[in-house]
Amino acid sequence: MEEKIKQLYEDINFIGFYCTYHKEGTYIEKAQKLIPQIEEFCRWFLEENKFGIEEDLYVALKRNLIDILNDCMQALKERDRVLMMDALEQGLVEYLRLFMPEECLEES
Amino acid sequence: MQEEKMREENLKALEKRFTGIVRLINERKKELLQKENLELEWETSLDGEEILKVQQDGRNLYLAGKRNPAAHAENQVSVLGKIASNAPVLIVGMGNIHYLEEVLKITDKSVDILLYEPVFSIFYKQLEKINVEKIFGDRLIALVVGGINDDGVSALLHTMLKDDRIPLMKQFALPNYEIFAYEKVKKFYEEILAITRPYNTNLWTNMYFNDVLAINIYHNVEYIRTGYTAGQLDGVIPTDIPAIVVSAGPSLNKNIAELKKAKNKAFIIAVDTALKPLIKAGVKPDMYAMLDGKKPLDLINVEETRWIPLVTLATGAKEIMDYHKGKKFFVDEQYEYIYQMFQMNGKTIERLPFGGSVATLAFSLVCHLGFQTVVFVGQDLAYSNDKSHADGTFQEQMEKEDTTEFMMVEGNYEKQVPTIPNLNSYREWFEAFIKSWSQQYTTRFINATEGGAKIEGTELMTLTEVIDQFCARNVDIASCIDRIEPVFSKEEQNRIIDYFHQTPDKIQQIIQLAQEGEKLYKKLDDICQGGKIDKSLYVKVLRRIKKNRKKIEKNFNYQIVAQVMIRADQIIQSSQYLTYSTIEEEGKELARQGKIYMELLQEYAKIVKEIASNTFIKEQ
Repeated sequence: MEEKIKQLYEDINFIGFYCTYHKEGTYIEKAQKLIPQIEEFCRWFLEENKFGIEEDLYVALKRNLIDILNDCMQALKERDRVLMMDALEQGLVEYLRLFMPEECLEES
Repeated sequence: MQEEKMREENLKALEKRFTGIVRLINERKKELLQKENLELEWETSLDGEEILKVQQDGRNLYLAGKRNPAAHAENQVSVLGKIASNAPVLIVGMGNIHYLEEVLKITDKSVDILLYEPVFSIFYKQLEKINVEKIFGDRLIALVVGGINDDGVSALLHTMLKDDRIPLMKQFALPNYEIFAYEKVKKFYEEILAITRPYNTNLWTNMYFNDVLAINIYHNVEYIRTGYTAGQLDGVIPTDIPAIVVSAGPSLNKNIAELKKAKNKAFIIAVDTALKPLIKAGVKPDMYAMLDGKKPLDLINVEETRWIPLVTLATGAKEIMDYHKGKKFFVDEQYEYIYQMFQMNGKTIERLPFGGSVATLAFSLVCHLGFQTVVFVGQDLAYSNDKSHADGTFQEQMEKEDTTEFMMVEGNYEKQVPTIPNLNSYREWFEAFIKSWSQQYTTRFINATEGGAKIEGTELMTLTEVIDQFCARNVDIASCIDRIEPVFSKEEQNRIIDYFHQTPDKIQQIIQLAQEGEKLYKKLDDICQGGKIDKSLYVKVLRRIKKNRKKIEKNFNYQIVAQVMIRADQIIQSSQYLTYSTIEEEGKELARQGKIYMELLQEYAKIVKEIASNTFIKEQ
């Protein structure tokens, strides 16, 4: 899973940077291609508290992740670039960072 | 209630900046809100900020992120690259005000910002929450709002996107505007393209001058060091006498002899090409203007011109600078290298809008010096009598040309007169300048050309009438100018000499950075060659390229090198409109162009370094 998380993290960073740098309006299309990987990560995170996190915190994190996922789905439906960017870059990425090796975070 | 109060405060603040805007808003808001039919609502973001959501045709769209409304604004502005002084920055949308705030944060006051909100409803709703006074602060921001003042957007863009400012332009549209304001955003960008397209044509003119540009600049450092700035003329010459701007149009021959009567009763400033016929007619102007990098010395080389004060640019022809022995007054041309000479000594060089011709420069100068009456002579802006210039300029007797295929414009005394596009664009520049100047000042503009094309905003008189009516008082203009001291003290001049001597080493730094840049583009190419692109590495290399470019652009000599290699720059810039089907394809193209650019940069920087090394400056 670690490799997949790293790849997803890099992909999200990439499409954000790419679309902003090139002022491209295809962010939603690019994000849509990542949905299977996003769902896989969310399922993995939500299936059980395997990280030894305090239960209350884990429940709150779960709720927040579901909100993020819902926002992604809404953004897809509405083709809302702002909502999708926010959900991925300011929401999901924070979860992915929890499982990223330090050196990868420093590089990005 | 609180929102209404805030809106009222904001409207008051806007009225202070844009007189009359509140009346327009009140007159049109009902109709516009109805026509746009957008539902807008506030939502509180996770960090407690109020953000806007739009609902249109059953579709909901956010205008700012609900988790971090400022995040994308920071990212967008950070990837714009260096925003140069005086650059035009165009922002489409104010649905999320952080974008404007970010631009303001990283730019200085010289940057021209246009904030265009195509949707009135969003502008009106934003006034409930933002604080216009606080955000705009002491900055000059042009605000254009759909349905309120967007009929003036074209004129505004024309003013902002003038010639050499076009390559400095930065623009972006807020995300989602391409959905709910598609037509208006598209129209706005089409307008930008239409304005910037002729710039490509002008590039050929720039290329024509390019080989001498670096030579002239480094050569003229000596004259700037020991010279004067146009701003030093301010308050020195009485402005209650008229200023007569003498150009070299064919009608000059009609009234050139009359000018003698205006000597010391008006401030006579001539364009360089008019000098020979003027001297021949016994008229020695008080000053002349020269800006052309390749102006032939033959046009002015009569002894009497050598000591006439000159208003000029750092890029002016070095042969004329050498020939000329009098005081040289320089106008800012936005070269960082020159600007530094002033900044290091705590001084400034004034900038004038000069419209690209020597006549527009002379005209702009006298307006800014505060003359109450400005008179045009020889300003035909047309082929009067089928001639391009006055007799005695390029030839003793100018030949007639076939003007049957020429464009026709309204004449001063004839219904229509033949002209050519560049003269016509100067005419338009004069008209736009006079129009905007007249909104603030009561200057009288008189056209005493006695022929040529009509310049809107000027009154027609003969030169005899002008002299009879306005030239009553005697003023010793030469002694007024004689009193002006050089802009730099001896100590400051020595500092400039040291700065100049470091120039080759500084250019060497560009060469080294270009070598590093070339390697980075090669790396980018390698990344894109394989089957599956390493996106993380791709982003990393792009970021390093960005850093490398930033370092290059920071070098004060870069602008000169970039101007010399303008064709190469154009190759790169034109590619921003191209689209590619895959990231790999785009990456490869980016790498290909980047490598060419960096190779050319090295080559040209070597040439410019050679020029700087071979230019001598007199030691104290």
